[in-house]
Amino acid sequence: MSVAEIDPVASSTRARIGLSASGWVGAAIILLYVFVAVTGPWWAPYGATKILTGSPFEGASLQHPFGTDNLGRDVFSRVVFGTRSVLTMTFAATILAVLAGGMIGVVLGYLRNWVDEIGMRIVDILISIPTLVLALLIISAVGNSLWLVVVTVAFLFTPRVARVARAATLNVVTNDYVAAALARGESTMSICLREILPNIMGVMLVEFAIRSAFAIIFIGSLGFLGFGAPPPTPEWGLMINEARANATNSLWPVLAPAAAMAVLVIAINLLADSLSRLIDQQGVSPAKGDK
Amino acid sequence: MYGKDILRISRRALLATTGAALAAGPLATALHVPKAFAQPKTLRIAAGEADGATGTLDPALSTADPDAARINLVFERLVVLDDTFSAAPQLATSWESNATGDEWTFKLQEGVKFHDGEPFSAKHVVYTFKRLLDPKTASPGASSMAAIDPAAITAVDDLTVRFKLKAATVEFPALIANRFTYILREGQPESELRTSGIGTGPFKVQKFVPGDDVSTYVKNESYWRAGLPKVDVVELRAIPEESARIAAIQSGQIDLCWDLGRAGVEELQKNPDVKVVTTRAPFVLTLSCWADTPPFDDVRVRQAMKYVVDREQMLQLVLRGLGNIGDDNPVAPWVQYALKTEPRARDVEKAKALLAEAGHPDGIDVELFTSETTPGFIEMATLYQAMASEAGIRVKLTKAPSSDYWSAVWLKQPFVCSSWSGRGADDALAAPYLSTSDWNETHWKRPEFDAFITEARATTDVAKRTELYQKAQQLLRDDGGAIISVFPDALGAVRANVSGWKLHPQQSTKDFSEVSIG
Repeated sequence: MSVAEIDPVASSTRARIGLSASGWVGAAIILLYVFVAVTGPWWAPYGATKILTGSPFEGASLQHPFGTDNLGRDVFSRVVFGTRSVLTMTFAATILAVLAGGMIGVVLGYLRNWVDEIGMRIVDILISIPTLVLALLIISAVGNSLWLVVVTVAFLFTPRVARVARAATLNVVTNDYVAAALARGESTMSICLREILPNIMGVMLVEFAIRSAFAIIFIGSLGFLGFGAPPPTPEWGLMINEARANATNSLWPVLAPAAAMAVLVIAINLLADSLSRLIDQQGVSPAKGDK
Repeated sequence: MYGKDILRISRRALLATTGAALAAGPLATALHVPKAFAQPKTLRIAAGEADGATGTLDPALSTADPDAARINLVFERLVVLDDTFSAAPQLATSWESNATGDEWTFKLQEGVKFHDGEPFSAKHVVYTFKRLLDPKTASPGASSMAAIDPAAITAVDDLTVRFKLKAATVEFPALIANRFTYILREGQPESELRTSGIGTGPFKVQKFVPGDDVSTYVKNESYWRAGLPKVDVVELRAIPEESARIAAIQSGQIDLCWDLGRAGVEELQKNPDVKVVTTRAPFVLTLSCWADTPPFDDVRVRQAMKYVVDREQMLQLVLRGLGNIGDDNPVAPWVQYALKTEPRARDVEKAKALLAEAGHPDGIDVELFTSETTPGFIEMATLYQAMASEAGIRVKLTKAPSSDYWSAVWLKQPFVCSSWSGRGADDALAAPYLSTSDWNETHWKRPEFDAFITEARATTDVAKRTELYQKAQQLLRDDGGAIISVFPDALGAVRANVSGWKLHPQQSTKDFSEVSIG
């Protein structure tokens, strides 16, 4: 190989490894949220439930960057405090869903026998039930706690993730290295974990990002409907619901948590988009290398 | 099921808020214009509590706000309360009692006809009260009128009715001016009463299906008060979501509404298309705990829970100043027989000491149920949580759906937000706090209290009666399980082209006969 031939490949590799600009923006915003979630309680100007930090319905000012709500609570502090619970709940629910759904999808996709057939039909049934209705049903039947919300959301997302994981697995199982592993006498578990899983990691990563964005909105909706955290928890969905009645007096208590939620969702989507493009390109390159 | 209800409410709220905010102003006014011509004059009114499949037109079973609204359209009572809560005539023209106050004779209005043409007479009054007191009817109001002997209600002649009472009741006319005593037509099948009752009122039922959004009432052409009613059709709907109700009146989707919270009123006051109507009312907002359930079964705990409240702050933050301060006494200070006390000042140290004395040096954990069903509940509960935490009373808030709050949470949970529409002194004390009351929301049962009320009802001497009612109030204030910090003014609003409407401080009374439009 000549130097001239390597160069374009090397530069295109570099381009492939880097995220697109929008991906970086998304990643930066997410990092900012994580930073706020971790450190927020130390520097938030007021407590999340402290009433009368100023008069009710104040507009934005230096003391109250996002104004105050109907009880004079500082909206900025409440949004900051809310970040932690939103991120924790979102990521906990999504990680659970991706782990469980990923395992189910990979195993079923690899087996492709009657177990797969039955498993996928169950997944189909679960997917066909509207998520919000099912979530409200579960939560009103079992009770109302933050961890229950997390488990419910994870449960609802698991079949959807399983479907994606299975589709990705089907693309991978036909490869020779899987046949080789089988010939070597590796166990099913080992093939799933060591041959298939590493090769669908990219897809699962993108799936994780997309699901996180859904989870934020979903958890927010539950809070808005009064099925998430009880008042006065600074949960964004609940804050929007509480402030809605007073929207004619001050829009800040509605807009601030809504904007916080929207920006986070957009950021995650930017990152997910960029990740998936990156993975598509990488997915193509080994095939090229083989030839 | 209730998940669905919530979705419906939020969808409606969303439509109303966004639709109204974006498009309403000029568009709605433009659409409004042709209404003035040709078409009958339609008054569109909106109640402020959810109206679900349990809605009824049967006065004996009336509990919710939309029930009261439609009953007032269709039916009338012998006696109504004026805005100072003293008795005034409606279907009765005059009344008198014997010297001991246990026999009352009512003269009835002549020339009144039911919607089906049947002349109104004494037998209908007898039928109505017998049915109301019949245990088979299971009216929640029966216990408050237990003094009436159902067997001894007699029609003296066509236009005279006599009640014999088991115990002397000097405030009897005011006692029967409540939400249950609307006069029904004798002979109408029981099965029709729920949805198509026949009354003497200004409007007739045209369409009422419990659970449907809108019910319709048409003018009673042969109404006995000349020249009334002034509109042809009334459409009643329920818009429990306050912001949606405000948006609806601003956009002209409805013409008249009541039961408004404080939040939107400032906005409405600025709107030239809308007139805000207010009246001082002894409406009670309360936090009620069961006095027979730990930890509330110790009077020191109940007192501690009262001492943590900053009443002035409650007034300012929950009601935006539109109301009056309460002192854990359901009788507002301006109502007849009221005990006028200096409202309990906030004293956190005292509350802590009382808790420690009661054996809770580390404070207590309680769960408080709240809901959006009455404006101010969420704010009151949230504020109470913040105030109580300083004294070691750790309140966990649970927000229950508003659609079935009164059937699934109230009277079923030991510590709840509750509200009572404005009443006269006797009713305000008896309905929630008599040990025999079906609505005893605090499980507070004191024979002394019951005795004060019973005795007051039988005392003809006003000064003595006042003293007895005040003793009852003192006992309730010091020992009872209700934390009553504020009395909200009644707030309503009408479109600028609506006139003749007065809010009544007795919330279940709504007279739409004199309302005119255009």
